[in-house]
Amino acid sequence: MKHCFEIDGIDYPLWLVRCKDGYRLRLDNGVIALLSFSHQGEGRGTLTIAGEREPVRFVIDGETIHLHMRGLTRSLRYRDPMRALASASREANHLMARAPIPGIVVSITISPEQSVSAGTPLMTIESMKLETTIRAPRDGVVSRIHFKEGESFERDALLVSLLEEGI
Amino acid sequence: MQRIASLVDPRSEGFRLNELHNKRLATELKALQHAIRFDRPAREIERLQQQNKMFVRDRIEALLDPDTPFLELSTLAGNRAYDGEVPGAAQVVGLGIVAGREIIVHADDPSVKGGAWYPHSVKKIVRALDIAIENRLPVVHLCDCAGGFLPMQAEFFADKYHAGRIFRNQSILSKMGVPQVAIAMGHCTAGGAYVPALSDYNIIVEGTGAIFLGGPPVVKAATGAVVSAEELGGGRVHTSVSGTCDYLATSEAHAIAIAREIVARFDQPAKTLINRTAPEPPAYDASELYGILPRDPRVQLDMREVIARLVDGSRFHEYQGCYGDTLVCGFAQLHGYQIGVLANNGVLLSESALKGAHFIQLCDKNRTPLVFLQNITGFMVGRDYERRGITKDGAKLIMAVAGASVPKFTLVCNSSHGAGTYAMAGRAFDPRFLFSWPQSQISAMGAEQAVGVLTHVKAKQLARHGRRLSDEELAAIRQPIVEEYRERSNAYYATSEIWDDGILDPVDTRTALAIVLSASLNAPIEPPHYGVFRM
Repeated sequence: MKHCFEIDGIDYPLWLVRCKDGYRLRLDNGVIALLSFSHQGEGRGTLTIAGEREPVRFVIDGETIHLHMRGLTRSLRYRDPMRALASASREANHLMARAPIPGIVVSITISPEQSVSAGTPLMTIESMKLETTIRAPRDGVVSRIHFKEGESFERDALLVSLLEEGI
Repeated sequence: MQRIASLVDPRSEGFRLNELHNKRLATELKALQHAIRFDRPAREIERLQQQNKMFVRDRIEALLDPDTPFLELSTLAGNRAYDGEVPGAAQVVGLGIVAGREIIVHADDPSVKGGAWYPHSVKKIVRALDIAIENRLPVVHLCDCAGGFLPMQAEFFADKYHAGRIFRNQSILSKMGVPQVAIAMGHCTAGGAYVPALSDYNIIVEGTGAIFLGGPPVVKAATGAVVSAEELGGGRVHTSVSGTCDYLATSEAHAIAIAREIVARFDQPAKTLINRTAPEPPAYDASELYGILPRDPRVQLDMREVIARLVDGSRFHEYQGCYGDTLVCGFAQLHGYQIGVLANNGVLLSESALKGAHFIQLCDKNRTPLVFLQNITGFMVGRDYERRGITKDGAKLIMAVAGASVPKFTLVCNSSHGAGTYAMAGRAFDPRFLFSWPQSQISAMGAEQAVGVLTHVKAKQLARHGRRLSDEELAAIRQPIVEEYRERSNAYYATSEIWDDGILDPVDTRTALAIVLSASLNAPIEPPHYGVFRM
């Protein structure tokens, strides 16, 4: 599995292979060899690409590298494969908010047909002397609220159903 | 170290004929390997696509670090069984690199009989896990198995090395601190359910992955209940209700990304240090092996010519060059690793056995892994040899081979027969890896010798009744034996039965040995200790 960097909205899968005297860069459409880098103090260095030496300046900010080279500045964002490959689930399960524990409904903070985004508080429940906020598992439109304030429910009961937006 | 001076003439007629013959064998090998890896009925490939599943080879490619070697093992397992309908025994096993670590990959192949386990599948998985145990290699399991192939259950269920051994080996690996990651990419049914369950880490793919002891049809038969696979053992159930799985992945690629990150977090113990120098290619080209290996396996071959095309700089420090010369022993470097080579240059005699036993102990003392190059028809027989103790000297060699603590590697180059197979670190002696060359033959006795022994026995029986063996009777005895040998003593049968870890094209041997040598050093080497040598 290659690493992936995004530049201006385009993903570039690549892999660096260590070899004698430096690295080989494997891209989707070919290989660049030989590659090496010598670090010359804070944010500066010389990149050697197939024999051509290029002075570079760079700043690493979390998963983004801002790179200045040949008079141009580009921002490369590392796309962590664990996040990049996790697609939003199409499962109907995600369109339901269920009760994590048995309890009673304290208050309801949304109304039917209201648009919500993932994490929006839907209702507050009380169980074992603790109040818990039930949040939207994903973006959607509230289609049904299954309990009224003051009503009690069992564990895993369906509290709020959502519909996918635009359906 | 001195360079071996090759006496081979690449312009000779013999060389050219051998080359034609051996290149043809290599081409046939590659063609069969390719077919077994990739040829699947279109409906199987379509079914995978409909299920949103990757082909097993693509799964493995995504798992491994790009541009790193993958040494596939036992590709041709089961090629002579089940009428050839279970390619690779429905399993892919190999040694690869994930996040910079050497690991064993074990993958069910759902494009073959739904990834069902056949007797050879079980043997191949058990062997993969034995390799992991012996070399302390982490394992990634890519699980997609419909369960055992029930009509053949008697051949893979109850015995010591049957399916139970898979789970035993998984438990032992965990106890040893060698981690395993499993991804449930399809149904993991019955025995297959325990593979992810016994892995230290596991991941399940939402929608396609499912784990259950009894699938929906079994539940229906047992209790009458109708339940969907997802409800019975899908990703959500196992990650949020049963706790059988650790990570829920939204796609196979996502699952593989999670597995790679888990492997990257493994503790990486320092490798065992052995004598090592900078690697260097052999002075003679490996492709000359094609012209060196005799097209007629009965023709004698100087194994120094083979060694010269396997080791660094073709340099060989020969030990006792003038004594017991039917066994060539000496030190060499392979990709920089120091190795001790034992190679057959003829039948084993008392002197060669003694020399071999001594050399093994030397290598064991100075932590030098052993490479056995087999071309052995057996130990010498006859009154004089027995009187000089050929059996007890052979026993010394076997004692040394069995007792050596350093890793052993065996290559069946040409012939491997009789006690010679054992004394040269055959499968039973736990070499870390064992490979064969395409033309090699392995059996208790050569076909002609077996015919000789069996006709002799028959003639003696008849002589007691005053009769003699007619020519027709002789042919009737001979024919089935020769037939049996042709079927079951060749390298393709051996590899089908997983007596080896695969057939190698001779030119790939050096690379394969380097990969397995490197992998073997993940395990520590115990101090030398032996049983009693019969003096």
